[in-house]
Formats: sequence, C-alpha cells, structure tokens
Amino acid sequence: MERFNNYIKGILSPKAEEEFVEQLIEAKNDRAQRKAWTEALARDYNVERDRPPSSSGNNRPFIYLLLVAAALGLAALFLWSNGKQSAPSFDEQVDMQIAGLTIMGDQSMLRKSMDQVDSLRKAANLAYVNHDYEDSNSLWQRLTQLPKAIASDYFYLGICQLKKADADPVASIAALQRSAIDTTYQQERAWLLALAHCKAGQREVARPILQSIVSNKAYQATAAKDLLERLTE
Amino acid sequence: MIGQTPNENSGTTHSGEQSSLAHKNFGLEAAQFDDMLIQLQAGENALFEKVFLSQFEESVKYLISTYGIQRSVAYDVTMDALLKFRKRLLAGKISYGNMRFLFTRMASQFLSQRNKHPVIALSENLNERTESQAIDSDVLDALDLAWQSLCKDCSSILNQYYYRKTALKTLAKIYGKSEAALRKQKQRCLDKLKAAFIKCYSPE
Repeated sequence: MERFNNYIKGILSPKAEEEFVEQLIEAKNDRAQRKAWTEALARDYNVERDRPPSSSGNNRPFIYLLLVAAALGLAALFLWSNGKQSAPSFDEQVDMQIAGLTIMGDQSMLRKSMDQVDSLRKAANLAYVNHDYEDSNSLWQRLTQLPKAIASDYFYLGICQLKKADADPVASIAALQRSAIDTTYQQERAWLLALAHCKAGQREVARPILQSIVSNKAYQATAAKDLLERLTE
Repeated sequence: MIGQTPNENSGTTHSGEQSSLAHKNFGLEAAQFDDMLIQLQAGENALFEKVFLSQFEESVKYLISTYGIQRSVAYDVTMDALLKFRKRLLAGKISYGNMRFLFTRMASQFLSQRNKHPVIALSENLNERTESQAIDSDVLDALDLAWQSLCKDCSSILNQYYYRKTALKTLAKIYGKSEAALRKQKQRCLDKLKAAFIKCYSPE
C-alpha cells in the first residue's frame, strides 16, 4: 500500500509511477475478466466455484433422475398451459439472433501495416472486435466512399448497420449485396441478409434465403429453420 | 469455416502422432493455435475461451485429486493460471507443443505460492513478493469509478497500451497520429485518470 499512497501523493518517480499504473490497469482488467469467465463457466459449462457440476453420473440415484424428469415435465406442462406468453416474438427472436452474431473481424488486417487506407481499415476492424458498432460503422462508411474500397468493407458495414443501436436493415442489405463479389463470407452473408430482410419487415424476401440455408445445411442452419417455421406469425 | 472449433467437422484423418500432439495442446492443431494467437492479439477471445473454459473443470479435478485441496481453492488457482496463460500467450512466451502440461504446472505453481502467502495478489510474476503487489479491492472499485469519467479514446488507449501491450507506434497508426502526439495524449489520459482516481478514493 505504500506504493499506492506514494502514487496518490505524487511522489513516485516517473518510472515507478508508470509501473504502478500498469499494475493498476492490469489488476482492474484481470478482475473484470475473472468475473466474466466465472459467469461464462457457470452459464455455459455448469462449472461453479463451490460445487461440482451436477452431472456427476454414477453417483446419482435413479430415483433422483426420475424426480428431475418429473419436474421438467411439470414445467413444460405449465408453460404449455399458459400458452406462448413467455416465448419471444418473431421480431424479438430476430433481434436476439442479430445481437448474438459472432462473425470475426479481418484478422490478417489487424496484423498488417499499412498505408493510410489500411490504417483506417485497421481502426474499423479494431472497433468492430471491441464491439463498438457505432464507431466501426462510421469508419466502414468512410472506407466504402474511398476509391480503394473492397468487398469486405461493405460486408462489415452491413454487419455494423444491423448491430448498431439504431439499426438500419435497409442500408445493411444494400451493403451486404455490394459485398457479394467476394465469396469468402458467402454463407455468413446469406444469414445476415436473411436477418436484415426480417428486421426490415420483408419476411417473404427472407423466406427463400432461409430455405436455401436450411436445405444446404449452411451456416446457422438450425437458427434459420427456427425463423422459417415462425415466418408466418 | 469461420468459427470452427478444434477438430470439429475437419473432414481430415489425423495420424496417431498428430492426435497425440493435439491432445497435448487442448485439442488444437498447430494452425488453429496460430489462429487463436492472431485472434487474441486482435482482442478477440472467443476461440481462446472456447478451448480453455471447456477444459477448466478437468483442470480443477486434476488439482483436487493430485493435491487433495478444496474445490474452491482449485477453482481459484485454475482461474489465476488462465489469466496468466492468456497474458503469456499474448506476450509470445508460450508456443505450441505441450500447453496442457504448461497450464497444469502454472496452476500448481499458483497453488504452492498461495500456500506460502495466504493473500493472493493479482500479480503476474510469481517470483515477486505477492503481498507487496496486492491491490485492495477498494482501490480497484475506486479505479473502476474513475475509469468511467474517461472518454472513449482515453479508455481505449490506456487499455490497449497497458493491458493488451500494444506498442505506442501501432497505436499511433490506429489513431492516425504521430508517435509523439500519441505519447502526449496517453499522458493526458493518465493525468485525467489520476485526478479522477484521487477524487474517488478516500483512504481511511
């Protein structure tokens, strides 16, 4: 704590202060990361700090399994008898899919250096991987207005237009369509276009895209099948 | 296919040696390990988390059975090892080969360090005296509060530079500024943070 007190008083040497600040910021980020991983472990892997995962297999008596199954059956009956009030609407499900999009940024771009356009592209990618879709959107917009714009600029612009707070699905569709000359993200683009059309209220335009995703067992085929079944809601 | 997890639908046949090597590296093949590193450098943790969180419980069980410790202790040291492992990956200090062994050894080192010093610090370097490096949670709470007063650029620059260890030269290019200008901006951000921090923290 002595170093901390000296930092507050401003009596550390510049080098010591730099080291201390680095340690502070590391500790802050470590704490946040630890919390995020703890939540992810509990949520996605059923791993908790103070109790082992519930699927301990051989030690669970058969009767306990029956009780769990009975409880699940009762819960399902309750939900069914109360209708679909708690299930998300079609539009909510589309929004959930958009929020859950995890298409990665251009990794090779982030390693490259760079002329000015590449610097802009790198900044756009960085904002994108940091989930700052507003910032990323405006940077991709700038890139698509330059002579050196490439298909992936339009692709990522299309994603950001959907994911930013004030989504613009029509602009997203236009951008995604312009990116189609690059087949690298063909499957992802199909899914994005389907979501964008749904978001824009163009369900009948989304239908054949979703059907194609399902029949080709392409990227997000299961989610596409769910949406397809609910298109007429 | 983008987002493909290790050994998922690869459609290829692995020799026994390749499978053994992948097993030693949490199911990752060498190319997938490289991808994971690139993603980490770009701030994308998805693949790293998918690989390491899925084996977290296995590490916990190993520590419990090997050292006869409580589950909560095994969990904590595995988490400590995970944080450190990622930093060392980012620093290029871990290469593909036998990550499983390295990770387990790291967790064991944290355990033995914990047994010597009851207060666990968030220090990366286990050779340092951990007590003197410990940061109180009160201080971190105040820092979190002070951090909120920073603008987006300051927050990003400080995180990139101090946590992700991005070079000043690289940051300067990202922000379209000269290195000298970025250095001055970083210092202004540090001054703002310090002022806000002092305001938020009221030592007893």
